[in-house]
Amino acid sequence: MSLNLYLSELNKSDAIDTQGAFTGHTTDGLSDTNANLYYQAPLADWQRIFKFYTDGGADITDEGVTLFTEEARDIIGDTSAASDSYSVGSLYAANAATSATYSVNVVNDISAGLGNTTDPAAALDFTKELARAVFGSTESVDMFTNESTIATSYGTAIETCATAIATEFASTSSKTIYASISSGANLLTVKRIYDQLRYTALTRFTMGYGATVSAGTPADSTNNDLTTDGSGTGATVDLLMTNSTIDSIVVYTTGSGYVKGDTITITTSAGNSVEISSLTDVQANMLNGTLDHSDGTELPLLADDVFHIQLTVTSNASQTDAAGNSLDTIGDTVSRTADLTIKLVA
Amino acid sequence: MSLPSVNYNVIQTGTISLNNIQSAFQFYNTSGESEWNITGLSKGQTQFTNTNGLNQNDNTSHNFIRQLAQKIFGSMDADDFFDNSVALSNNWETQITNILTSLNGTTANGDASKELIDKMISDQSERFYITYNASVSGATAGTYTGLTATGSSSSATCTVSTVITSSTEIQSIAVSATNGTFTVNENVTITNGGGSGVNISISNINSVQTALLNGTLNSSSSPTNAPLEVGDKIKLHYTINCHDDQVSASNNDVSMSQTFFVEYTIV
Repeated sequence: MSLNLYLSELNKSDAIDTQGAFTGHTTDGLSDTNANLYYQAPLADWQRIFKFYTDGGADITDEGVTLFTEEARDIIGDTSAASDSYSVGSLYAANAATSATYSVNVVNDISAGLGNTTDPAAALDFTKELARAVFGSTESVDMFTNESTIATSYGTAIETCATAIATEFASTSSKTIYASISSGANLLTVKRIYDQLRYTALTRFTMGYGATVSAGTPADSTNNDLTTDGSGTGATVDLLMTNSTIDSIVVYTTGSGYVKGDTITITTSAGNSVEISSLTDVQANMLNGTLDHSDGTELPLLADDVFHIQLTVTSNASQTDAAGNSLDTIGDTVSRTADLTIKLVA
Repeated sequence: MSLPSVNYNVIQTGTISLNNIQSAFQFYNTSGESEWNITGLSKGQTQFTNTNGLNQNDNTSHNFIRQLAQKIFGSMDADDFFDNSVALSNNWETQITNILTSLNGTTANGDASKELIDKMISDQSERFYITYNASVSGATAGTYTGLTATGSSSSATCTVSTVITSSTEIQSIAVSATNGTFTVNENVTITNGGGSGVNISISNINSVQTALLNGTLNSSSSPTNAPLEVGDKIKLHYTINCHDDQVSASNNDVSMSQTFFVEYTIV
């Protein structure tokens, strides 16, 4: 009979010298723009666009997650994502100062000072700068005979920019690992959002995000059952606590059927509990064990997240100055930038 | 001892040569005791080597990263959230090398040898008797004394007695007078000097049988190797911890240990 022996006296243990790193990358803020525009996007519209998945342990490289974007004609605009066509007509609106800064599916150009719709700040900025180029002074705006048409045309240009943005997401992108993304506005965008989320909101990628103690004082415990107001079943989690502070929640057993927005309650054997009132898609997929499925997991965008896009409007190619010189020819093309601030609202 | 629990259940496998390992575990019988009592010697230098799978690219390394991801983010599938998986796996392999160095260099005490011998006495007691691998044919049942045991290659001899219960069954062989020059792995024959009834063969005597025939089982200066054999398996328990300063995504201190077995088959 052969020997098969565990030699406990030779147990060996060592700690690795390297810490796991997960820093993310920040991006420079938008600065030195000439005007501001405001847009309110439905949170769900944006959440469904930007996705990732992990490789599920297939290799050990620093390639990061695989990122992709869904077809999203509604990233900015008022059309359905399922539609093959999109329209940004009436997207731009010259708003009075008393209007809400953000309106759903409307690019608001807030009044510069008169408090009415006759002086949308961004359009007025452009018109004034055009007056400077044509007449030599920004105060010469009233010398245009079509001042209001110029403002309208500015809005049309903004809508055209919005169309161009929507076009970048006209179809589902390729699924590309993080380290290989170097081109494609849609892929570069999802990469930038992923980087910034990891840099400033890393905990959104954790199972414990948004968890609160809902009953008693839970202690460290393992394999705790979950209850949910949804239809998910089977998952259990470990709780790591310091007094009443939740240090970590770790999936112990994966289940199925959990979805974004579910409320889950984790109850320890002592009857104490922790609640997550609204699962992110990341948390739902962690509980389901599907973070590595190529269907993708939504990046954890949340209400009140804000994005900035720079829009540039230039003067008409045939625009001349008061002396009849082409602005483009004499090197005085008017180019004005607007910071389109997009706020996600649930 | 029962096996401890591990959190990576895939047993890593490797091989180690018989010559290499058996001399690393030595013992001697503590004389003057009424009961069987052994002293294990410091484990000798051994060449446990890295197994086929234990490198930075294998599943065990990746499991470490996945377990670390579970601690930090809450899910093992979050492994790709790390920026430095390659550095982690590289360093994991470095720690495996360090463990092997420590393992092979461990000579501090005799507990490992004692643990091995104790377990073998319990489960492979037959290897500790002279009758191990002995056969007899055409014998007449009875008790025989003053027999001569002779080594096939050393030509060493000693005097033994034996109890034979049937023509093919040996109940016991006991050394009456030792000589001291039998060598491991030789064959030994035991006859009654031309008389009828006894013709015992012992093939490939092991280290313990050799010591018994030589009368050196009590020798602390010439200890006996563990009677390990080809096909025996030695299971070792490895623990790889995360860095002491590892923090979670919430900047809390994190402790994580990956535990698994490495099983060496003796060849």
